[in-house]
Amino acid sequence: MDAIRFEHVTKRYGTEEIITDLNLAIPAGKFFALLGPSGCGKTTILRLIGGFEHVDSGKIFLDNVDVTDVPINQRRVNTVFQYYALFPHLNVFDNVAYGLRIKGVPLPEIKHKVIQVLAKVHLEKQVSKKIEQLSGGQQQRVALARAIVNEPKVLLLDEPLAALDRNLKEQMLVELIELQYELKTTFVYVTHDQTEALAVADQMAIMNDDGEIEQVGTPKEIYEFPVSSFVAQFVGKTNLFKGVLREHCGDFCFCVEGLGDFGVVIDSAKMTACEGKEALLSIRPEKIEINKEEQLGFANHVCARVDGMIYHGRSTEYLLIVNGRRITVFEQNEEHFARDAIVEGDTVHLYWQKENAVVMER
Amino acid sequence: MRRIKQAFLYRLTYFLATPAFLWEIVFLCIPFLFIMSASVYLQGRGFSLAAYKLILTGAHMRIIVRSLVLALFTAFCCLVVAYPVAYFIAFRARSWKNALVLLLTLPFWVNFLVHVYAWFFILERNGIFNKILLALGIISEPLHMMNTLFAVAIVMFQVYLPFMILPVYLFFEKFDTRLLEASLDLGASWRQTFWRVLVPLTMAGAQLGFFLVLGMSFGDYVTPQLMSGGKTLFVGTVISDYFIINRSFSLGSAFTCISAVVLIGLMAISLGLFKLVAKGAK
Repeated sequence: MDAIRFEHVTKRYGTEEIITDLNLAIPAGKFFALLGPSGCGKTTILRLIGGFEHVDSGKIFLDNVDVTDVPINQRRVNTVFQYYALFPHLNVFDNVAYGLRIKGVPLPEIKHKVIQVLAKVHLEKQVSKKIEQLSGGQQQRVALARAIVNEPKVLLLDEPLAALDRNLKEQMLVELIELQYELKTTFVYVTHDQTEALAVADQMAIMNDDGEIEQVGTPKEIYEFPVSSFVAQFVGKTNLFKGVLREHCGDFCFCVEGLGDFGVVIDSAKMTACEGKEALLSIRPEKIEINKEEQLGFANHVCARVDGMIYHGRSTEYLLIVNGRRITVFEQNEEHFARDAIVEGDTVHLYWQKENAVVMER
Repeated sequence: MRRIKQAFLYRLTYFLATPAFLWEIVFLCIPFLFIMSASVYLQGRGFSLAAYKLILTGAHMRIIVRSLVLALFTAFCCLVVAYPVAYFIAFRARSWKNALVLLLTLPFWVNFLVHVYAWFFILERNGIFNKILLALGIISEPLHMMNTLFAVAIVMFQVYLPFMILPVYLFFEKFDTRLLEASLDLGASWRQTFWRVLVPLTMAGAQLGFFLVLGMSFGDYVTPQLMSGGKTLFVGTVISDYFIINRSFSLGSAFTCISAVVLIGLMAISLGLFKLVAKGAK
C-alpha cells in the first residue's frame, strides 16, 4: 500500500514551475529517501506533503485519502525541520509535549508518553533542560522526539543531519534506521547527500535539476542499475563512455570509438531501445580491476597510463588515461604495503566483467 | 601575566555602564530624593506629614485613579493595535519594511503641540470627524467631543502608539517564523499558535511597550490639559498646579510621591499578569 501518492502534481512559485506533473508513490512503513541536487524541488515535495505549500494542480493522497485541501494542522504528518525549529521558550519536556497538549491528552498520559519517547532518543537525562543548553545532536533528537510522540502516519525529515559533524551524522543515521524499524512509520527523508540516502533508505527516488524524478528503486537498484547518466553520476562516481550497441549472434557488445568493443549483458528490450542510436556505458570505478601484470578470466580489457593517484585511506583513487580519455578506478587498500605498488607514469591493465557495466539510453 | 591582564580588562567592561548609572543617579535618584524630602518638610514647621494627610483624601485619589484608568486604557488599546501592525511590518511588508519603520517615527517630526492642536480640527463641532459621520448618515446632530475624556484618550492613543509598536516590532523581528510552521505541523490551530508560541516569544516587547506607554500617559500634562480644556484634572495637571501656580512644594511633592508609588504598584501587578499570560500559554 502507498502511504503517499502524488497524482499529476504541479507546483509554481510565481511563474517558475518547480514541479511539473509529478507522479510518485511512497510505500507505507518504509524508509523512503528523496535524493536530488540543491534547489531541485525536493523540499517543495516535502512541504506539499506536510501541507505547508499547496498544489497548483493535481492531487495528493495520504493513506488513499485525498488530502490536497486538508490544512497542515489536520494532517497526520509530522516534520523534523532542517534547523529543528524547537520552541526556545519551552524546555525539552514541554517541546515534546506540545503536540499532545494541543490534542488535549490528559497530563499523566502526556508524561508517560514524553518520557518514553525521550528514552527512545536517549535524552531521558535532559528532560527539564532548556533548548539552548543542548548540543546540536541533542537538539536534533528533541526535534525527532517532538514529531514521533504524535504517532504520525508519515514522518517528514528535511535534511535533518545537515548541521551535524560527520561522526555524529553517522551515529544519527544508525539511530534513525533503528527507530524507523521499531516504529514502522513511513519516513520520508529529503537529502542532497547520496551516502546518507543510500544508507537509510529502503526505497529511494532520484530527482534531477528540473524537479523530475529520474528513477525510483532500492538503493542497490539505483546504484547498480542506474537508468540514466544523471543517476549514475549523482549517486556515486562512474566512468561514462558514449558509443553504439551492437549484436553479434546473440552476444551484445558496446563499441566506443577509439577505445574498443566491450562485451555487455543486457536484455532484448534494451537492445531494441538503443538500436542504432548513440548510447552510454557506465562502469563504476570499484568494478574495474587494476593490475600491472596481464590477467586472465576477464571479458574486457584496456591498457592505461597512470596520471595521478589520490589516497583516501580505505581506498586509493587512480586517475588513468586511455587514448586521451580519463578513467577513474578505486582500489581497496588491503595491505599496508602492496608488493608491486603502482606509481605515476606506469602502464597498467584494466579489467572488468561484462555483467558489471551498465548500458543507458541517455 | 596575560591572564591577569585579560581578567582586568574583563572587569573593566563593568565600567562601560558608568555613564548610564551616573545619568540615573544625577537626573533621577537625586531629584527624587529632593522631592521626597520636600514632601515631608513644611516651611517654618520642619518635619511634617500634613501634606500626605491632605493628599490622601478622596478628591486627590480620584484624580490619581482617573489618570491611572486613562493610562491603562491607552496602553491596552496601543497593545491591541500594535500586534497586528508589528506582525505586518515584520512578516508581510518585505521590501517595504525599512520604509514602514521609518514612517513610524513620522509623528515625531512634527512639534508635539502642533500634533495635539491638529486634533482640534478633527474633533471640534464642525470638524472632519463630525462631517464624515454626518455625511455617512450615522449621526444627525454633530457630536460633542472636544473637552471630553474620549478626546483625551484618542489623542493619547495616537501619540503613544509608536512607543508600543516599535518594541513589539523589535521582538517580532527576532522571532523565527519557522516556529509558526512547527506549531501548525504539530496540530495547533492559528489561535493556539498565537497564544502558545508568538505571544510568549514577543512578550518582552509587549511588556516594554506597555510600561513605556503606561508611564508616559500617566504623567502626561499637555494632552489632558489641552484636550480636556483644563476642566478635568489629571495627575500631570495637578502636579503642575501645585508647583507652578500654588507654589506649594510640599503638597506637590507629596502628590508626586504617592502617584509614583501607585504607578509602580500598578506596573508590578501588570508584570505579574504578563507572567501569567506567558505561563498559561504552556
